[in-house]
Amino acid sequence: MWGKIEEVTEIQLDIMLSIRDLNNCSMATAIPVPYSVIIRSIGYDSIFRELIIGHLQIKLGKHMRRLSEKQRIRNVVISNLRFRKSQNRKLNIYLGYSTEQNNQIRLEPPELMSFSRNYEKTVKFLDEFRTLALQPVGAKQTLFVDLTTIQDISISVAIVLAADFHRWSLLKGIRLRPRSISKWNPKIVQLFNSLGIFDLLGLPEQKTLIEEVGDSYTLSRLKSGVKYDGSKLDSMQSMFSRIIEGFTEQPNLYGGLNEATDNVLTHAYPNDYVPVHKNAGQRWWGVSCLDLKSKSLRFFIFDHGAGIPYTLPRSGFLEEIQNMASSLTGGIIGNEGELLEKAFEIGRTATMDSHRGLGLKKMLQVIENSPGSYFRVLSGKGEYKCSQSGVVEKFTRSRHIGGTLIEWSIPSNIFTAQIKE
Amino acid sequence: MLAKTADATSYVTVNIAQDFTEYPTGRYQKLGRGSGEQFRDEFLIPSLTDGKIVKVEIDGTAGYPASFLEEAFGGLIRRGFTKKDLEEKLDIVSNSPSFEPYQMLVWQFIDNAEKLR
Repeated sequence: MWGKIEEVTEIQLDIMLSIRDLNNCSMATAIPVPYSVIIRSIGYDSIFRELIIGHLQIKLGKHMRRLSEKQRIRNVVISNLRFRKSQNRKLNIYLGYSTEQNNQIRLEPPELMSFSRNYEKTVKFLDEFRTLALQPVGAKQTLFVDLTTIQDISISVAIVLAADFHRWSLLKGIRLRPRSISKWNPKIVQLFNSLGIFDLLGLPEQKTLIEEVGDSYTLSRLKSGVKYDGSKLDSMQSMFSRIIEGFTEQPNLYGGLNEATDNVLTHAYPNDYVPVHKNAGQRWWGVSCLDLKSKSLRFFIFDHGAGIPYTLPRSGFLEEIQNMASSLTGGIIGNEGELLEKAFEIGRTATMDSHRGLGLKKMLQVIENSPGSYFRVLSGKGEYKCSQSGVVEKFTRSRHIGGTLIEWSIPSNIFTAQIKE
Repeated sequence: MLAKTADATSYVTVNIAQDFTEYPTGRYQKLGRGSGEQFRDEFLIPSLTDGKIVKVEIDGTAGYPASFLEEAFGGLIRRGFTKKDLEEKLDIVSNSPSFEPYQMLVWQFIDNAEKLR
C-alpha cells in the first residue's frame, strides 16, 4: 500500500495516515492541514496517490494549499449530501420502490390485500406506506400509492387502509387525490364508494366506466372520531341504532359494540406508549355493512393504538391472565396470540371482580345467541377468532397490524324476523 | 330486592330511554354523551340526596355497556352511599326478558363496589 517513500517527513506521514482513516469514513476531510506537503512520485502505490489526490486535490510535485474556512465548510457540506444520497439509494433498494424522474415515490400494494389470506404481504405494504407517508425520505419527494395493482381487497383491510390514508391527510394537512381511477379494479372503486372512504377523505364519490355489483352493502359508512368527541360517537351510535332499530331485543349487540368503542377511548392510547408512527389524535374508525356473500352483518372498529397485548399489563388484568395461564400452561404465555386468547377466555367467565374482563365478556356476548356468528380481534401481532360454536383460532404474526381491529359477524337471518319494513 | 314504605310524593321514576338517552355510552362524561357518570350525577344523586326513592326503568334503550352500569350504580357507593341505603332507596325495574340480566348486573356492581370500599 505504501510503496516506496522518499523524502517524507514525520509530519507528512501523520497526514497520510489521517487521510487513509478519513477515507474509510467516506467523509471529506475537515482536518486542518497547516503544512505544505511535497510528495514525490517515486514508488508510490497508485491507490495511495488517488487517495491523496481525491481528498486534498494535490497534483504530484506541487505544494498543497491551505484550505480556507469557507472551502472547508463547503467540502463538509458536499460530503454530507453525498453520504445522505448514498443512504437514500440503499433505502430505495430495501423498500423496493422506484423513484421516477419527477422525484415521486411510487408504492405498489400487492394484488391480494387480505389479513386472512395474505397477511404478511398486506401488513408489509401497510408498514412501508406508513413509514413513507409519515416520515418522508426526501423533502422534495411526493408519495404515490398506486392502487391500480389491487385486484382483491377485504373489507377489513379496506378499513385499515382508509384509516391510514385519513391519518396521512390529517397529519400532513393535505387533501389526497385519487389518480387513474379508470385503471382501478371497478370492484375496488365500488367498495371504497360504499364504505364511504372517499367521503371520509373529503372527496366526492368516484365513478367507474363499468358498474359493478359489490360483495357488500354498507349500512353505516366509515366514521371516525377522537376521544372526547362525544358528538361523533353519538352519531355513530345513532347509525348503529338505526341499523338495529328493529332489534332492541338484541341489547347485547349494542352493549358489545359500545364496549369496544369505550375500550378504544379508555385503553387504546396509553400515555406511556410511544407509537412507531405518529397518531392523528386518539382516534377510532367504525363501519358496519351487510356482506352479501355470507349474508351476514359485519361491524368493525379500528384504532391506531398500542394494541391489547401492550395495554393489558397496564390495566391490572394481566395478573388474572397469568393466574389462568399458570393453571393451564404452567405459567407460560408464549406470544401475543395466546395472550389474546387468555384475555378473552377470562372474559368468557368474567365475574364482577374484574371490570375489564367484563368488558371483554360483553364483546363476546354479542355472538352468544347467534349461531353462525364470530368475533375476531387483530391486535398488535396477535389474532383471536372465536365462533359462536366455541371454536377458537389464535395466531401470532411477525408484524404488528398497527393498532387493533375488532370485528363481529352475525348472520342476518338472526334479525330477519325483527326487521321493520 | 326493595322493600319500602313510602308515599307517592317521595317516589321519583326515571326511565333511562325516555328521560336520559336511548343510547347509553361508556363510563365517563368526557368520552361522550350518555355516560354512566352523567346519568349518576344528573339523575340519581340529586334524588337520592333529597331522600327520595328512585325507581329506574331500564327497558327501551339500545343496550348497556358494562362500564355504563358500573359507573352509574357502582359509582354511587364511591360517592358515599352504602349498599343498605341503596337497597332501601333504589329500585331497578325491567319488564323485558332481554333487559332482566341488567337488573342483576346492577346489584352485583353495587355489591362489588361495597366490597372494595
